[in-house]
Amino acid sequence: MSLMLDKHHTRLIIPQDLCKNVGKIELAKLLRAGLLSSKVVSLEREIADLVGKTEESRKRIAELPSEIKDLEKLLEDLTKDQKTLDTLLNNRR
Amino acid sequence: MNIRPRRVQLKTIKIKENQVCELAKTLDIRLDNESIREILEVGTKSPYSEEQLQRTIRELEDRKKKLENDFREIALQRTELESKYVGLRTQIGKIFRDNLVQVFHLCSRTPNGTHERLARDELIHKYIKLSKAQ
Repeated sequence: MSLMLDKHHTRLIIPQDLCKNVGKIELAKLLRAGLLSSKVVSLEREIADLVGKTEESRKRIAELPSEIKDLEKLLEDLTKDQKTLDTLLNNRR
Repeated sequence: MNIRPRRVQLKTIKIKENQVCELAKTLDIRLDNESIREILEVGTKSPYSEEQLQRTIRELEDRKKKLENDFREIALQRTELESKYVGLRTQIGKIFRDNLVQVFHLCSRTPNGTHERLARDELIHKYIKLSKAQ
């Protein structure tokens, strides 16, 4: 772990090449900006994912009522056949 | 041939405030050996001020919350419709199989009335066609 906490300081272990020409304050500032930017990117991704999932569900919700209606019609038809078959076979259920 | 990984020189830096660490904790971002380089790089490239970024995060979090609520409602609607759809399909499958068995029984019978004979032929024809289509 590169980051340790003590009472007053945050100790970071950083590859030397990264902090050659940068002071501590500047480094902390860059880290904060980096953290915030990373959060923005991750939130944007989560939002895009949510928008995609919501759209997909909306699309399915729009399709389902007509599919259900078709199935209800088919069920009605099959139930009618069932009754006719019962009558023809004298096999009342 | 032995290939040894290049040693990266590390430096310990003390930062007086715990701001960086606290921020990482609040944002739920790991600040470890692998990610620190990337985060510094992102920070160097970022053209925005901390205030601008904080404001954007707040706006995005609000939007995310709203979208999550919308999604929960929509997911509930979808689940209700999907279960109705699946229920109907199951019911249809069962009645269709029952009817098919009855049609096989009907094949061996010849009803007396013309109307009954017509209905019998129609049903046999229909169910042969349907079972072939399956």
